[in-house]
Amino acid sequence: MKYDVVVIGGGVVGLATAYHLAKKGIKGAVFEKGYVGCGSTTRSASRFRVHFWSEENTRFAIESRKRMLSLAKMTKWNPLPITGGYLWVIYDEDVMRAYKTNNDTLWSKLGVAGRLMEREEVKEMYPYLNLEGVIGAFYGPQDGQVHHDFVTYGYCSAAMRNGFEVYEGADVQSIMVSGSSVAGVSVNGKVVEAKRVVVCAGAWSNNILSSAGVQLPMVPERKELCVTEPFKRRIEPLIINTKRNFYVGQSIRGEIMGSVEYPEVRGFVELRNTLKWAARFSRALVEMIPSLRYARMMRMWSGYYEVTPDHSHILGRDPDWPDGLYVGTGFSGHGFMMAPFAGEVLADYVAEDRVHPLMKPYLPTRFKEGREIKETMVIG
Amino acid sequence: MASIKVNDKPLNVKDGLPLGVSLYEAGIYSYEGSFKLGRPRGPMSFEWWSPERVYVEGYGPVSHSLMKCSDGLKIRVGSGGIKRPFIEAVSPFLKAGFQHGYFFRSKIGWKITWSFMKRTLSHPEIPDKVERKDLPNPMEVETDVLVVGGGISGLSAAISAGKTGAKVVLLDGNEEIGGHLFYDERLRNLEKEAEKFGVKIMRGTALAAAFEDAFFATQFREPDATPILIRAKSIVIATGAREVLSVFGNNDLPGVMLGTSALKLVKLYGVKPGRRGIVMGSNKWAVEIARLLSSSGIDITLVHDKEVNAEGIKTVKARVLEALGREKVRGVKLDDGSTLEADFIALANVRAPSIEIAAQLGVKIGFHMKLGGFVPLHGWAGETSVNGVFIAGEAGGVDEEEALIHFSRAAGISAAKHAGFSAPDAEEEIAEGRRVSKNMEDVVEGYKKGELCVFDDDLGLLQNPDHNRSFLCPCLDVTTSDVKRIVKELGWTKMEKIKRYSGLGTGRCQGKYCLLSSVIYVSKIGKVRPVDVGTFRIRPPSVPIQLGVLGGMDR
Repeated sequence: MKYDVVVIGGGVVGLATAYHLAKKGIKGAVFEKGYVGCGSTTRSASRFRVHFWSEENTRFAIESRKRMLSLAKMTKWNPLPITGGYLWVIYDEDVMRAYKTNNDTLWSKLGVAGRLMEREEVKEMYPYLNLEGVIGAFYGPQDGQVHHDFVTYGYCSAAMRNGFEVYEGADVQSIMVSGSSVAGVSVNGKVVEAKRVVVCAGAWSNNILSSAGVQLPMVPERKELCVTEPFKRRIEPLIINTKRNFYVGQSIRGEIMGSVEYPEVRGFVELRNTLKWAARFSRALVEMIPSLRYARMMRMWSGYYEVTPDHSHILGRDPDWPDGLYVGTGFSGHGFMMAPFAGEVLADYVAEDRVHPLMKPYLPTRFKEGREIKETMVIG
Repeated sequence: MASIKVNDKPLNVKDGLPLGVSLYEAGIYSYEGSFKLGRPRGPMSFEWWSPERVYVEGYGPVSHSLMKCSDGLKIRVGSGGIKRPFIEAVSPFLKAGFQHGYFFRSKIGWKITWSFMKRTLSHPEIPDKVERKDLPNPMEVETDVLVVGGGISGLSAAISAGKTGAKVVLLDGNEEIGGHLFYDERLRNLEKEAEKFGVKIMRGTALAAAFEDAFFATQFREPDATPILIRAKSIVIATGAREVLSVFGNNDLPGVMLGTSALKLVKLYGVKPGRRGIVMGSNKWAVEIARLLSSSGIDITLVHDKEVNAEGIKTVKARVLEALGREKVRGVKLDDGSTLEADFIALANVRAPSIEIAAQLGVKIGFHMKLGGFVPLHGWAGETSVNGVFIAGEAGGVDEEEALIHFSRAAGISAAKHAGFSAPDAEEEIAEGRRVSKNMEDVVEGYKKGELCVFDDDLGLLQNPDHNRSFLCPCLDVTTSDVKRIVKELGWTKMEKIKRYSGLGTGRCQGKYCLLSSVIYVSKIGKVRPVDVGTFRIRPPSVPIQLGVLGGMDR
């Protein structure tokens, strides 16, 4: 087998990249170890936001959101977008000030809507919230949710319609390098030739990159999530408790979904669940929305955030790497929401060697050049 | 007697009876409208793990089988109501994946659809206020051997383990020990024997989840419960088996229920499931259910599709095409063209092993239709691929009673040994078991090979999948035609992907009703082996647990 481009990883990032490559008429293939989306995409909370602490990420997210909302036209799959907003519930004057500053100096400048709410207004708008200790909130109306699987399948079928091939159960064991360039990959023991290889394997990227002598500053961090039994839709925004780093929202089908940051588990630990987390999350949720005391937790799961030192993704290549090797990884928990734009700019780069100005800050060379992005807003 | 209110109308019920049972007795068969289609949804089982919920003011949706009747409860029930005819009229447009159609995926189309969906999807509302704010205090239990399930095999295993001097705790979600043989006197004797050997029996307590860091159990006192953290050196999974949903037209109608639950209504609660009933199945258990229900004065017909030995019982050899009735079952149409009058249908085509705990612990699962479909692979003494985890009895696919007792004892002995106790040789029990067992050889072979797949017969589970209201998943209204579309049009045959497209298996039952029928249906139309269709990932908890109860664990 021989392709122009091989994409490793059939998650949302790999498939979005594949779709945009396919649109350019490039003949390529996606190799996915399990089934499409099974790594981290289907495990995500499937939310998107435009509020980031850094200008780079905010700008990137604005572009990504635009594409997310018009995805149905491109892929012919309805990702069920709902812009219910994000609500950061604030307990502390300093935090309130920080949101105000960022809103005034960054977000409003970039056209990102958002406003601070007084405690009274929060009480009126969200009567189900327990506001003990709350001084106010910050509301971002442009943030929202989509159905993650439909985004993934949409990209997958659109890529295939445009001539890309997608293989499930195709485990890439190594990248083959000949001289100073990439020569192909070894898939399930078979050689697949390709001059260009794009690694979009999320938390598993380093395992594959090591065969090409490349390592990215990135560690997997296990995050647990759960949903309750379904209820009629009532919780419109994703509610974030800024004190406990805990979030909760309601899925399209009505299940209440959320997570709390606890306990921190790094490395490739088995994707199971802990009582510690389940208990901590349940308590936090019942404290925040007391009328959910008798609601039932129905299903739990876990997945990895692949965390970089600056909590921002890594796109493109380092000139020191073998020629033809590219990455789109390190999303630090934002892969799902950033994928629509990341796929597009990465495809531009791979196909035409064109670096989009908004992609520039995310090149892998930033770590050795000391140009890390100042991003601290990671939820969950 | 207790006085409760149903939709503001007073109703006198027996104090202490499960809410669902009292409602059934009072002729209230529907608790809510179904998710998409607004069809009546009532009780399909009366077990501690039952997914049916009744809306009680001050609590929200509670378990209809765990919540006991008491004075002053205010209940709201209903079904699709006035919107049902409308939804039925538009339902041909609501097939799985309808939202990807040209109109629905357009910006304006989706906006209209979502605002409509938000209002019409039949889910309970989040209550405004609840009765209590404080969270329950947790308990901790430490033991050598944990036995899950108090049926004939759980008790046998616990006794053998207890004899070695090991500390044994046995959990059962039911208040009454005995599993599906709860009515059998022999089980009382086993229960006494277990207690004599120091087995601590915790009734009404279910192992809710096998987490990475601990076993978590809850002692039900619906609406409240006590969270329990359990530490054990080894575990014997004796969770038994349960009947599953058979597939025929209108198989979601109130009155269709699992065979064991029909028995429980009569034998445990003294409520007749109906005057005239149908038992479906061609196995010994179906005959036993038919016999017991008949002897309680109910006019029973056993509908079977294979030869059975059922002397003294009215039988009809046929397949069920559809259940008749609009709000409740009033009969069935058979494939020989005849109809039978009946006001309830007891399902007993298959007893499928309860694999939740085993799957959460990472035990390899195989498939053997004669043994109830998905079955955790294990060796002669119940040992599995996971250290310290043992399977006993029907949970491991053993159905012949005599063999089951021997193998369960062997599992109990092995679990005690694993916990560090010197015990007699389990070989003797194993030899006895092997002498009388027919099917265990296959499971043990599969355990050694790491794979097992035997699918020769649907055992009557797929009675009539071609009806347009043959449900695979009553929780989320997924029909056979929805799944057929996915298999044929998208070419998908992996359950994990079909689930993500259709919602199948992500409802409140989390696969307890729907898994087996769905898998063999996909296997049949997609022409792939059941093990390749696979289960949807079985995740904790085994049964949905109140947030307040889990939260009580966080101290």
